[in-house]
Amino acid sequence: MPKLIKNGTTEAFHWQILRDSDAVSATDLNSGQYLIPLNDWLAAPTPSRNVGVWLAIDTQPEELTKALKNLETIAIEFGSFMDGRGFSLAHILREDCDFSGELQAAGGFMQDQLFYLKRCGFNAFVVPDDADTDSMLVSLGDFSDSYQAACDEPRPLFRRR
Amino acid sequence: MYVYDEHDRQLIAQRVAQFRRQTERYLEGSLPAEQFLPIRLQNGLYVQRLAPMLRIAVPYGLLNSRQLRKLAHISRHYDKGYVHVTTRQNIQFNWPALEEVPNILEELADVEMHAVQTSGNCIRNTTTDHFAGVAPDELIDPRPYCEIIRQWSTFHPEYAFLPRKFKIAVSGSDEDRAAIRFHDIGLQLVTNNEGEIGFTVMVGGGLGRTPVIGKVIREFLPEHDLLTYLEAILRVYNLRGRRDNKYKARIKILVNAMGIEAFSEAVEQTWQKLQDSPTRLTDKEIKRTKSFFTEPDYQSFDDTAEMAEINRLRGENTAFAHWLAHNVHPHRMAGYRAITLSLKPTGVAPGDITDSQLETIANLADEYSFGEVRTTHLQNMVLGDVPAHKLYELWQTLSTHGFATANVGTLTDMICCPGGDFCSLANAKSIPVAEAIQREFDNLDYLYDLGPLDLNISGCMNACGHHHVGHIGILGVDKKGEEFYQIQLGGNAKNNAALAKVLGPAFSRAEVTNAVKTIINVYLEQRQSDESFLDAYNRLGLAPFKERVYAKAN
Repeated sequence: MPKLIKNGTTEAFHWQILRDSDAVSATDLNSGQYLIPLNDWLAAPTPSRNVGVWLAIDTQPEELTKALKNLETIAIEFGSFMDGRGFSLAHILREDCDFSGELQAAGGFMQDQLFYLKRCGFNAFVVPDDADTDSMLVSLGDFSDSYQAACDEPRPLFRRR
Repeated sequence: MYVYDEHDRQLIAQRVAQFRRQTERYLEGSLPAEQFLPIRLQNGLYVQRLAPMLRIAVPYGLLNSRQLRKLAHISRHYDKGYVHVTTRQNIQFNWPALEEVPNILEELADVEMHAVQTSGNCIRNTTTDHFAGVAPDELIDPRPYCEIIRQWSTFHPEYAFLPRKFKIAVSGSDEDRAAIRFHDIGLQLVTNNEGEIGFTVMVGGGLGRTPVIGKVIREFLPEHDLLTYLEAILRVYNLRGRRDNKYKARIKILVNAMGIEAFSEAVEQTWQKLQDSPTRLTDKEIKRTKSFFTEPDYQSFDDTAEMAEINRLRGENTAFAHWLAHNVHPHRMAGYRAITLSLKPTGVAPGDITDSQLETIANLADEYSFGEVRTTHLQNMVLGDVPAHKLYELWQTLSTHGFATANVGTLTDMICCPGGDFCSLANAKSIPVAEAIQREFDNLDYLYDLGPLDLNISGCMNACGHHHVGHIGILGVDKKGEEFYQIQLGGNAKNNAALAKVLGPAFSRAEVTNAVKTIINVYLEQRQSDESFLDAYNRLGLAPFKERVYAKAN
């Protein structure tokens, strides 16, 4: 089972990702914890502990609306670690949609992006079962300060110098 | 020159520690090669044809003598005793060992240097005019704004995995010496009618496979909005730039596909949300950054008096007169001049410089130019603040050390990429072509008669040698495993930016020099009075050159 790095510790990742509507309608969403496509959730946007939204990496920024702030959990699934769109999507969720819940990075991101992911608003990281999470926690803290503003520090260094 | 405080020092030290851990993980096998690739690139480390290559950032081309000495030391101890000045004003080491790179970066951090984001799909080193701060035609010194951009772009968490690399250049003078129209973003400092400082913003310029001249997206962007506006452009690009084909991934392709109006509207929409964010620059920050680029301790000179003896020596010594005419540039302070140290003597790869030459330049900088040196995107170095009355003694010293070749701005002062001798991307060698042309045009009087001439050579269509903007551009191509060279004419990197046009079928390496000679002969025969090569080309077009070059070849 994959693991979830969160708040400086590691726990089991209990969520199941349902990537298409057919899977959503075939599933009893009360039977576990599910991440479902944005449109399926928007069809019935009720707040729920056990249902979150799954965002593909090619999600268009205009699809992200303020309605998302009512969610408790959103996951952005990276394809390749070279595809950096997830960094901007996360930023938009935090800054423009006022989403304050758990933002999970899932899929093909890599360990050495953890610090940047954290800065862009991710606060939970789905990693493989055999991942060296101690080493990952070190990567999460690669830097103790930054020049520019981001979701973890709204003031750029020049306003704090 | 910018001086690090404890924040800058800590960030760079933590970067070195991070890369050391990453290199260790790679070497022990726990960091896969495909993941290490973008990491090492963003720390300047390429794996080249023969050995790794390490590209060191020289922010906007400024170096002090202490840094030069450190570069000399590194090239001596970790490399083969020479370095290469690149067209992004950076410095490259060609043979460092991968496992030593963290140590090299630690040594660089001692002198406030690094290799951050000198490669990879991220925001690269910001470049500017190599005469910034001293040019008589300068409206506003671009260097503080370059430093503001450097800090904003360094370790920017959102823009480290862009569709492709991203280059920004800033110019603050009338004449564009930084090729800002050929950058992903070009910034021209201007003032509005109220006298407020701002930028004309150009976007989507670039060379490479699809050369494009940048388009104006904002006529006047107030200086305080610089970073929020850059942020908006980058966000639109990061989300909408193509990622399916690396040859169509630069922002120029996106801008052309959307059209400048639609692109600009998308940027405006994004900017509405960002413009009042804390990233908006403050007067305090602009003032703080400008405080690092104040005037050095200039003496008050009378220019005519300072130049009297120099002008007398000019009359007595032809070689000195040539050097004054070509390698010495006007300065906004009376009694001072800026000096180009030519790194293009015949027989040396353009832009290459040895460890002991670096130390010599460090000493010269201390003695003649307030301890500072600039690298140029034309692959030379500049002493920016030389007292005019010392020009003769400086020229004598430069001559001894091989920096006084009086060819600046002439055909033999060519831009040339490392090419197939070093680079694994190259289709063809470029250094031997440069040398063959330099040998052919070794007569200085003849060169001076040709007037200003930019000859640029790239070993492949990635265009590191800026062949598209050479008055004469040479591009190495591969034809069934053999090296061939295409010639282009009429490019211009300056204000009247233009892309060169292909003359016709490519030449073998043996034929290139003759083809260039024929082109020059057509110019000499057809020019009117003191018309430059570029002006003559613009009047005549490609046809007369084409006719003659291929008539002879057949």
